[in-house]
Amino acid sequence: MSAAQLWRRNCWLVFEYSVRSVFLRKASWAGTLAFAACLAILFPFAFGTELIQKAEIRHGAFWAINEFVVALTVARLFTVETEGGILEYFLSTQVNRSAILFGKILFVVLYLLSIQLPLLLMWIVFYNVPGNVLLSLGSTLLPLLVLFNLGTGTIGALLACVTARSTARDILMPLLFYPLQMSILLAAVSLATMSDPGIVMLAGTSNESWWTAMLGVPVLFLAVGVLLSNVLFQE
Amino acid sequence: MPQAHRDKTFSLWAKILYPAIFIQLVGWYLGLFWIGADKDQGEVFRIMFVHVPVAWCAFVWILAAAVFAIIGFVRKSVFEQMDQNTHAAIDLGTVFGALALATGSIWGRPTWGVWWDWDPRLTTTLVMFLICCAYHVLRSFTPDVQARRNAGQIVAILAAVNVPIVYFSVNIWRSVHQPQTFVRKGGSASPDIGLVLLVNTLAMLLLSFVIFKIRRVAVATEETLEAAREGRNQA
Repeated sequence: MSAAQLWRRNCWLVFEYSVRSVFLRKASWAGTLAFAACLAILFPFAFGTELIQKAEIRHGAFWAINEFVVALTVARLFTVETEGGILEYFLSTQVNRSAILFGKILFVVLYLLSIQLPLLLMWIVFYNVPGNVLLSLGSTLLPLLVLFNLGTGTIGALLACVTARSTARDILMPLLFYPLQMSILLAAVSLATMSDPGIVMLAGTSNESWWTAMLGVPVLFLAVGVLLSNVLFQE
Repeated sequence: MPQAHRDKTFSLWAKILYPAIFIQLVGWYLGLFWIGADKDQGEVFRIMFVHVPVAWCAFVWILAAAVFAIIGFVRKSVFEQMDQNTHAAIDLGTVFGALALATGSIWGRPTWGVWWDWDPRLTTTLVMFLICCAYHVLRSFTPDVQARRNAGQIVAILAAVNVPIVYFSVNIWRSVHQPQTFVRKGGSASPDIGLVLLVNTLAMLLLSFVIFKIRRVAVATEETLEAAREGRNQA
């Protein structure tokens, strides 16, 4: 078996194990979705039920909910493996460290997507999103969600490894995570808002730079992750 | 590094500190009294001779921290020394980052009418500063020395990833912050302003280098003291 094939197999193994763990512990998935629902209910009361109908607030609220969901997910990224001793087992073998990281990132992207799809329905209902907005968002939203998940998932996976041995992990994760992913959040909100036909954009506002940020951040952090994977995953 | 050598280094750089402060004072004198008032901003623009140099120092020391971290990962024989360098460099990056934010805010009040604006340059600088703060929290709450060094070095690299984003943010996004006046072609600043700014930037870089050398000795001494305390507790 070639090195590339072995790498792919290892990556798939980590991904499959993570998916199976979630499937066995459905409460974790349902709990995250319930958390997202609580936030979706909370925001209209925080901003005011009338103000939340405004296009800018509506989009901002959706991505802010996603943000908290990602933070919750990445904070628990290696919990199952650590509790079961599987991570130590992986690390004691010849499994390529970057394959573990990629497997985990792939898992985060799909896991978040599985939360975001029902969340999207809640958002449409609770925030009275008009049909024409949904139509115009249609082609943008899915790539936006995937890139958002990829970016935040990559940063989250990196930070989950960095803070693994810290005694103040619960403080450090948000302290590092929120500033580092701010450009992705900003880009996602801006691109979603630009797609909304109800908003008149100011002259000179281009969505190209936001797409660059959406694409560039995951690439940048993936590169850092691969280069440092041996340091990130130490026994 | 033996303690006697550390003491010698400390004494040497402590002596150089006074001429460095003097050069900086000369630079500020030129900025305050030698240069005439700006035709648009009046006397307020003089804060530029503090704001721009401290912002540059923040960039330089955060980038230097990442360079030290990368050298440490590549050359394991100097890993410990490079970690101490990274620590001292991030200390300076944090202080200069805070000063850049504070002086920028003071400059912003009379020119923009607000202390703070959610402008890309300001926001990305704040993000950079927060990551530096997170570095210190991470070091404080990671008891295992090797894990602390590894995690610290990775966060230093992540902090540096943000520096080009801060620098080019005024070009990429629409911003209230002025673009690079002296770097770009056709900048409107007069040569004498450019000269005084250059003197102040070089003086601040020199001063920050001297502080770095002193802080570097202090970091090494702190670590020796910590190791001695741990040894005593174990005994």
